Amino acid sequence: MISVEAMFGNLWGNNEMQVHFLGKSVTGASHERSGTEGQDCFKIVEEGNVLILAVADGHGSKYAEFSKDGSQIAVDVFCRIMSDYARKYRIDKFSDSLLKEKIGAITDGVLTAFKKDKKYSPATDELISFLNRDGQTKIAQTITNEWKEEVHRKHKSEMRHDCLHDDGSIDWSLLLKKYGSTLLGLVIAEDFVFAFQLGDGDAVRIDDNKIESVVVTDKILGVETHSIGRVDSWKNAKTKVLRLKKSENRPYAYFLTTDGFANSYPSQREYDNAIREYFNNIKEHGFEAVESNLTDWLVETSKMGCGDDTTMVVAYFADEKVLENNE
Amino acid sequence: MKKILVRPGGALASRPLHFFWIVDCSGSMFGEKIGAVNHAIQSVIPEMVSAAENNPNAQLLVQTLKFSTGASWITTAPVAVEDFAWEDLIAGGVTDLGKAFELLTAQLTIPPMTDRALPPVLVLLSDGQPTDNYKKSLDALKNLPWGKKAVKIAISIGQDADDTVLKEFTDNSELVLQANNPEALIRMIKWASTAASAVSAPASRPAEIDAPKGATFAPDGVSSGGGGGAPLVIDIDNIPSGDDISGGDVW
Repeated sequence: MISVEAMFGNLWGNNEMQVHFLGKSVTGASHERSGTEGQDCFKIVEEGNVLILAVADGHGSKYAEFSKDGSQIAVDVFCRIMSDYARKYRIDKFSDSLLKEKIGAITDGVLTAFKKDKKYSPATDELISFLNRDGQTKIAQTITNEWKEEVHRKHKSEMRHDCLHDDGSIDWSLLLKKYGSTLLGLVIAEDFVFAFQLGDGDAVRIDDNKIESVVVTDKILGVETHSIGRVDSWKNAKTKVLRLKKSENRPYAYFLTTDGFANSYPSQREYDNAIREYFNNIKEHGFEAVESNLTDWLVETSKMGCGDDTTMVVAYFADEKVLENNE
Repeated sequence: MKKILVRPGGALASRPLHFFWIVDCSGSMFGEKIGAVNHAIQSVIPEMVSAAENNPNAQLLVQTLKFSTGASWITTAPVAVEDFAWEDLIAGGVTDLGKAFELLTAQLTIPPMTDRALPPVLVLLSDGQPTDNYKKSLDALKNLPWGKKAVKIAISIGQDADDTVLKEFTDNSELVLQANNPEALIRMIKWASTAASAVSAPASRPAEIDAPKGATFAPDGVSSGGGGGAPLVIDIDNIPSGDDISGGDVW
């Protein structure tokens, strides 16, 4: 029998590596002043040895009155779909024929090699190929289509009977706009990271040596952003697959933030410096200390910064010993 | 017990919102017109200060650009609205609007503008009829990333004003406000100054959207890929009608 770990790669168990993750979201200072609700949402899911992170920022304008629901649905849908993909490509018991069926492109030679070396992970390779090939098309379409279906269900279940044409048919354009949101997500496995972005927000990877954006999207100036709340929103999705080396410097971390965080700093350089300081705080004071302070920090960030809702999700990877020493 | 840590990340900043008064000081504005402009803008500054105080998460910065024979900045650098003082302008000379657009283009380029700013607000006060070739510099302005995103409002001063260039500037005839007397001018300038608070609202907006019912968009000039050139929503339902405003002499 070939284990799940062999098929998908052992994420953190074998290498004495630990992952810690957290997410916090605060209502923006501007919303607090006006008495309106925040529209940011986040979600973190562990699926086997895969970590799935998502943040979403509902538009919050008067034309997107249900965007809090829209952003919640966005993170739910992303995590569910990516969990499904992770499960689909992880097989712990199968025959040769089933393996070939599940991993269609595999050759006999690769199959033999795979069975000899259980550390080899053709399923991961296949998943990476799939993400690379279909990320911005099929996957983006799947995510946005499921989001639309969920939004429609929500709209009906909440007895919101507007957004109809004169003939009684649904005005999809208007309905989707009311739930408009951004969506930014990461799928982190041992040897790759998949990033998905529709709209603004930042996803960065940081270690002791460097900080870099995981996915780079079109920067739209001002207060506009791409939105999942468009009929053809998948066309604006950006995806990226990064291959990771086993020798990645540790500790390292991934940070996801909604635009309320970045817009509270004067420039990209100050934003990068801020992420660096958050990372150093985790190293210096431990993950739990940062987690217990993060809400206060984000409230202060929004109050003294741009006033928008502010969300941060962190996945921190370190040698177990280091974390134990610090915590 | 919770270990209290100082927030990492260094200094935070509210988002800058640049507001530009662009004032025609040519000979045709001489006399009562330029006097009314001076009085009207002076009178709305306290309201702008008050609006800025109500939104500490946006930093309202004001600049004044005048044009007649040539163009020049009255305030060479952006001034926080609470420190802004209006300097009375004097009219005389020709109407080098193209020169004004050139200076504005330089100011809206990144840098000195930051990409983290809120959309700038440009308010042009003029009776039209530029005397230089303004089209090239207007195109350059409107092709800038911030030129596309800027909220552009024009106030047409006087019944005999030529609105052609003002419509070209705004790309939207609804955002060419008519001011045919001093009272109307004050009302229009007040309305234009409220555009600043409209763009400083924290809500984000989907790019490239269709116009929702009951709202009108500010113009965006040239459309570009990747969502560039998307319009910015401005609620113009409350623009005062120039025809309804009486008071003082009609220009």
